[in-house]
Amino acid sequence: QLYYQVLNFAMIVSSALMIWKGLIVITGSESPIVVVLSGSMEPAFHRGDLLFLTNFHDDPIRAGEIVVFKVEGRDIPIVHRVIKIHEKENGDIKFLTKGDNNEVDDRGLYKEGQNWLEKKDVVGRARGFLPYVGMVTIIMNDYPKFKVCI
Amino acid sequence: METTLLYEWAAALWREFYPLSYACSRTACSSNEGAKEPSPEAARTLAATEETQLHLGQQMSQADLVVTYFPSLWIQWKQTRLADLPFLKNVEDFTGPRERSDLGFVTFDITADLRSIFDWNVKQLFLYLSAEYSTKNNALNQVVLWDKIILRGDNPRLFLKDMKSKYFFFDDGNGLKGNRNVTLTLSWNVVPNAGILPLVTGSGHVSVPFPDTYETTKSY
Repeated sequence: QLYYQVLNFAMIVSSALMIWKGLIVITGSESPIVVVLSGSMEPAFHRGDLLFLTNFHDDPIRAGEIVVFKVEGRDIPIVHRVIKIHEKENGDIKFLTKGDNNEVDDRGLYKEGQNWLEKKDVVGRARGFLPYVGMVTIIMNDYPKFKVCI
Repeated sequence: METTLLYEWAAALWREFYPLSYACSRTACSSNEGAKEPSPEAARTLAATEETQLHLGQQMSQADLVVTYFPSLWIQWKQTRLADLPFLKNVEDFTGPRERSDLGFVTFDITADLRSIFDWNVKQLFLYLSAEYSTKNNALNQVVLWDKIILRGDNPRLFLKDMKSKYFFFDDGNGLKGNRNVTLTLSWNVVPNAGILPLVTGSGHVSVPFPDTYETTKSY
């Protein structure tokens, strides 16, 4: 009987993992569900809100989009809005972000000497949103499925 | 001072409610043909009419582009006084590979009626004005010049005049000089109470031509 229970539990865990991995593949983002940690995008997103991301390769980055990106060297992703883009003919793009609730742009958050972000820094684009649901993560703080982000 | 402001406010209201009227202030006369009341069903569908209109005041020498969107939004960049024409400076730029880059200065008016976008699921609207253009260096450039957050419950009708850009209109290089084709568009991000986050671009746009020379003395 114990054996049966263990097997049942393992089945649940592995199907949950499959759903998560499936989501990663479908959306193209390495972390398709994120929780907002700070108030830099208020009043749109508050601490504890859940965001659904997609990261399709062919989706161009345009001014005004809400992107989640990672700064090189730091592993906490940040969710802010794109305010400037400069794109070359071959598709190379450099862009600048700023939180809605911040007075200045994000150059202070980037790496030393870095003035622009590139496509490779993007984790995904915010497509959908659920309020308050992510509070659970902030309280629990170490559930492995969700990555928290600033 | 008081009477000028009251006059311009009255003129704006007049334009809003009487489509074929002429509204004249001390420096500008413009006709307002084609302003329509937005219908609720057309809230997310976009249609634009673009009109070029000749001004009647003596200070006017060129055509002014006024664009009407659904739901009736206008951007009108100011060409009423010489001081309001868009101008350029070439300043030190620490964020690019070159010494100096172009910095643009644009003054604009925005009139917007956003009542039809707000429905039961809209928490907030993030409105922004972006300038789009292409240069020798870069095929596509988009710079957000100004933005505004409109919360549910705020007045959804905007009558903004003499607005300066909130953020520096820096180019990545010197591509604004002589650029006749900088397009200003108004877009908005609808933030729902829960659900999808759509990014909508207002159709219709205004083109701003930049001069061929730099200004060294004046600023906003």
